[in-house]
Amino acid sequence: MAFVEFDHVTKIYQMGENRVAAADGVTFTIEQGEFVVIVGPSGAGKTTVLNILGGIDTPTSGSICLDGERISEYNNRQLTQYRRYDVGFVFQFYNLVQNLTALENVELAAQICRDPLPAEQVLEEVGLKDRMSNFPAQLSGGEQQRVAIARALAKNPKLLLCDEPTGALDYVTGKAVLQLLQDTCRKRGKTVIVITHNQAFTAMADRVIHIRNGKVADITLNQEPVSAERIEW
Amino acid sequence: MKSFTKDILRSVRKSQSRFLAIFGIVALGAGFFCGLNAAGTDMRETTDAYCDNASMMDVEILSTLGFSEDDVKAIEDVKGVQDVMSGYRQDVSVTINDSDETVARFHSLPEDGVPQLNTPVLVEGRMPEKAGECVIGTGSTIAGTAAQVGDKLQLVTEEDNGDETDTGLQADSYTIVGLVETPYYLSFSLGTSSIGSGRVGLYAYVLPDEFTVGFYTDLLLTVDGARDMDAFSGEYEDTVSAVTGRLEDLADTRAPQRREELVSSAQEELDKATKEYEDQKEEVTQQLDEAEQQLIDGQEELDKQADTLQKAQEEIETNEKTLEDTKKQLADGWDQYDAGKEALEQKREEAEEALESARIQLEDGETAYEVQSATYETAVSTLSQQQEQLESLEQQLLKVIAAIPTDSPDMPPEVAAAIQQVQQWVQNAEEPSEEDIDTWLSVLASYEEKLPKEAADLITMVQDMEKTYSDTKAQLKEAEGELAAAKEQLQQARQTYEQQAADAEEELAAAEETLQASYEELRAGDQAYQDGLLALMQAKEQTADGESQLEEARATLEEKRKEWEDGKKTAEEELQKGAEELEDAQKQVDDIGEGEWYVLDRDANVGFASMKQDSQRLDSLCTVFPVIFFLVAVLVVLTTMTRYVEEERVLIGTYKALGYGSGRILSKYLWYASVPTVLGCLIGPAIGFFALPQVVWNAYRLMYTVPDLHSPFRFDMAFWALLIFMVSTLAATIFAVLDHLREVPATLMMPRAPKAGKHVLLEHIPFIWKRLSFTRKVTVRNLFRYKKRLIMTVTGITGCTALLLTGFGIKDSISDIVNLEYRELSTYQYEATTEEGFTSAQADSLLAGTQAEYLRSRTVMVDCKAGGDTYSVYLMVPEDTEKTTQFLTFRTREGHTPVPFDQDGVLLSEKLSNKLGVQAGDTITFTEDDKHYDVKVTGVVEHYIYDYIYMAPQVYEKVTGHAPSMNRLMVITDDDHESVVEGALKSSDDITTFADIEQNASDFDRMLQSLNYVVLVIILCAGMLAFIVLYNLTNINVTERQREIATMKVLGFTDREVNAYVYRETLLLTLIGCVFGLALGVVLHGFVINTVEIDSVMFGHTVKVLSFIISAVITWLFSLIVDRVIDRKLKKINMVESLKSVD
Repeated sequence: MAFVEFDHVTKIYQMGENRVAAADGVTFTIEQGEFVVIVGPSGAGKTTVLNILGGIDTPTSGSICLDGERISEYNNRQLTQYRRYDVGFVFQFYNLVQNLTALENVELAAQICRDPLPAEQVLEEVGLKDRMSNFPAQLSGGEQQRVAIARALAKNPKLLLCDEPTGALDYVTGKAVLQLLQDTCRKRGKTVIVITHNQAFTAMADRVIHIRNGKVADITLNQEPVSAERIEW
Repeated sequence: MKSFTKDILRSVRKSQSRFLAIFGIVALGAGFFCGLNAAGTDMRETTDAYCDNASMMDVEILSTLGFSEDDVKAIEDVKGVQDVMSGYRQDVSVTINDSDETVARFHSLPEDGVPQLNTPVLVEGRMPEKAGECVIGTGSTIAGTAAQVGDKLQLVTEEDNGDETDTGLQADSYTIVGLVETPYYLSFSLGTSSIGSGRVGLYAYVLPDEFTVGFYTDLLLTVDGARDMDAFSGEYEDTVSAVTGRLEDLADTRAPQRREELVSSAQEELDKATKEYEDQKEEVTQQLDEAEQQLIDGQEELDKQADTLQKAQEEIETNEKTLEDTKKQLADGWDQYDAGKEALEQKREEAEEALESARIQLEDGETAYEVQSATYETAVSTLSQQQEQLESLEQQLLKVIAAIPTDSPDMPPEVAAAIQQVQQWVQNAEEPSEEDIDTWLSVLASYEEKLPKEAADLITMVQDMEKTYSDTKAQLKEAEGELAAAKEQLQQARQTYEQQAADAEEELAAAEETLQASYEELRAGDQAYQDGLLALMQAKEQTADGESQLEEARATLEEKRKEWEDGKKTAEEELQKGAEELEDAQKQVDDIGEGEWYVLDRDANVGFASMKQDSQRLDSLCTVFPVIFFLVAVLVVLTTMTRYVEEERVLIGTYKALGYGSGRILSKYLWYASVPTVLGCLIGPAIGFFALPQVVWNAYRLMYTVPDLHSPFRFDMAFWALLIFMVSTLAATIFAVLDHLREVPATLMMPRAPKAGKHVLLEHIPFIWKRLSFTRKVTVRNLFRYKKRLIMTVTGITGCTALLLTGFGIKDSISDIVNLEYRELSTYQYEATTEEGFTSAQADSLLAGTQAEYLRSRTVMVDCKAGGDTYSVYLMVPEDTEKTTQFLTFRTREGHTPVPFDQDGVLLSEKLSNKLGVQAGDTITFTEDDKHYDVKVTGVVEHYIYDYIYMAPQVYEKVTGHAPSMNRLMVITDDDHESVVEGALKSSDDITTFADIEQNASDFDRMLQSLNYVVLVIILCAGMLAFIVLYNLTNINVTERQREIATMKVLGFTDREVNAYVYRETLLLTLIGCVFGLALGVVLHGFVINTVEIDSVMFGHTVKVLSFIISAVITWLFSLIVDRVIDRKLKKINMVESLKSVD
């Protein structure tokens, strides 16, 4: 059994008279420790898939399993626990708590976990040793995103979900962030799923899932993924 | 419709809760502002209309000497006087069904055809149509019971020097035929009176003819044009005071004339009375003399009867003595008889004893004799045996002898002869005689030796035998003699014994006979004695009857004498009194004062004046509270609008980029703000104008008899509210929008950089900071991050808590008064009004056996001033300063330091000292009986209800020159004796009225209830305010931080944790606001209390701890309710939507 199983997952939004299927029978599997890139054009339903997988949205139908747990049948409380212990999120706009320092933002997440990593250590690993007591507003975008990644990592989740992590970053910073995510996957053996509309990222993935119009268009396995440093866009 | 307008409309629809919040807070603020402000005006207008409808007088004139028709005419001619209604009034003590006395003020109903002023409005029943009928005010109570139609007012005539005082009314009682209302008596407090308890308890209207007084006592008049004016306005006051001034001038000329008239008519009457008195005196004296003569006659008759009785008595005594002697003699006789009887008995015993021993002796003798006789018999038989033996022997001998041969030679012849003889005999078988034998024998004996041996032996034997025999025979002979002697002796002894017995019997019988005779004699004596005794008893009884009859007669006579004496005394006293009265009357006539007119405007009317004060007090109360509401409302609107504009930052940028002008863009927000403000300012006041004055009015109706309130929508006031709100909300909106409009569209369309987090001061105090949990740190940071919101929330909560505390505090202050005054400062249970000059002896006898403590005092209303205004206050002069402290506590309000009540000066109640503006050491002037006295103030004491001057009796005497005449009595008793004391007070003639202090306390409590309603309204509104403020601000908080909250949720924070994260701030702000609010509340309370105090009452100045707690708890309660509402909102925050993109 695969680590992540998506089986005919649909998500339908009722928009007045219209029913819009953001996900329309998405089916795929992901193995543990893989670096996965979900790629597709804007509005293809990538984010919906990720949200459902991350437990912040629920599917209209279909089943999702993570590590043998059927997430699609969780109730709200169970979903909260799931997000709390099993999932780490990284957003395009970081979503840091403005009122907390970098360290505190990490601690905010670490504090509620069962087996967190030391916040300082994680921040050091993402290269923010010297910026720990800075507030988000005092950090650059890349730094903020790294704080966000550190926040996700500190929870020591089973799954790291990243929604356009480089979307608000410049090229260089974006690459550094990608490298960080790839390292996380390789060194820590975490399953990392990155959503992007950028085809260039597919090169660095173990598995690439192409989504178009709410459906899985293609799944490719990269036998030799390249390092993040070497990809260009 | 233009797109821009559509946008505005949709904005409203999209943010209903914000729109409603603005509307709500404005409606509440404006409603409260308008409602409370209108309340006072509504009250005044309603009262004014009521007074106008009932043609209430503008001026009332009273006079000590009454008014004549000329006076009335003169008054009618005064410039500015419109109508004059002349009538009567009279204060009389009344009872219903033997209740306690109450002072009733009787007014005359207007006569037909004259101006009708102060028209009583019939509420129930009908108006009086004939003598003996009256109508009284609705809600009138006598001794706690409501008077009803059909009840009878019984007039109480007080005994004064034995005469009943004239009530001034024709009838003794008046049947209540109806209940009325009149603006003349607006308040349930009807004013003061010079009689009874000093307080008018009810008022009544009767027909004018009912008054016996020969002149008008009460003039009511209206002033030209005054009716059309607002009776509470300065214009009215000026108009009326011009007329009162002219009337007072008139009084100066009319009053002395009136006196002249009165003096002459009074003197005439007095002279008539004097003559009558003389006539009566003569008659009475004559009657008394006649009665005395009758008494003397009676006494003589009585003496005679007594003499007769005396004699009878003496006789009885003699008889009694004789009888006593007889009784004694009889007793002696009986004693003797008893002794005789005893002696006889003894003698009988002795005799019997002697006889017995004699008989025993006799019997012994007889026995001895029988023995002797038996011995003799034996001897006789022995003798006969011996004789036989002898004879046989002799026979033998004879034979033997006979056988002896007679031839023997040797035989003497004689013997031979004897033998022959014997032979003969034997041959003849003759019985020789003894002598023969003996002779024979003696012969033979001599021959014996020659006789045969046998014969010889026989002869010896016969001879022996013979000898024995003869001895025995001799012995027998002797025994026979002895026996005969013994027999004789025995015979003799028997004879003696018998003689003796017979003698004794005879003797005893004789003695018995004597005894019997004496017994009979004694019995007869006894009988005689009994008869005598009976006779004596009868005689005694007779005399006793006579005696009691005599005693009765004597008592009757004594009674008659006493009656006569009493009669005489009474008559003399009455005559004396009559004389004194005449003297007094003369004095009174001489003393008839200058005569004074009292020209009184409506302010002198208790009801009208207190309505005026109450409405003004309400006005001042209403200036405080709406302001707070108003401020908070403006703050809330300001925050809301600022927030709203900030939310639409990008939109503003877009509009700007699209080429819309600043003014156009601004207009959207001005529209958005205006609509709820205008709506709020219409609907809020619409409710406020109606509801609040009605609530307040209904509260005041507990104390006033007034019609329903007319509470119109006051456009002017609503307009002002609208204006203020519009200006403030629009200003706030413009301010907020302009802030954004200044920026260029490009920056506007960029999301505004989130407000940066900052280290707060607290972080530099590691000691505390390190101890805070992580989320608490966040809370602290957040608080300081949104300073505006912090200030808003704290201000809102502060205002709300302060209002609550003020509300509860006013309640405390009001309820405290009664508690402090009646349960702490006054420690007595009863207060009684007594006759003037109530002595301690009267008090002692009144309360004898009740174990109650009492204090007499002189308590009167006096005028008092210290330079400025004059106040009517109570002057209390207790009999003893030492004892007073048991009944009253003199202490300072703050610190409760005891204030000494000494003999240098006077103590003032606190409120009075404030009103007069004096302190210890200052001098005040008081006026009693038109005389002015200066006294020094030595202290100011805590006191709440009415103004008091406390004066030691020594001071009073020193200042006025005479001792205080006591007229009050305070009583301390315990629970067990309460009813006894009450009974004593009730039944005493010395006590005019008395009051249970506990009753007073509850009466007062009821009166102050009305303010409680107002307070309740304030509390409710404050609560609503708190809710709206908290809800609105927290709502803004949540909306503002939606993204942050969504992130928390994504991170896996549970709902509860998220709620704590957000709401902890609100709770902390609530706490801070609460603390500030309580502090502000204390200040506000002090301010309000000072403004709303009733003239004669000082309110408590402390707020109870409980009120602090309740105010805080209520604030917290609202905070928690808001928390629940917000919690639902937090749960609804959608992570996906919130995080999708930056707005």
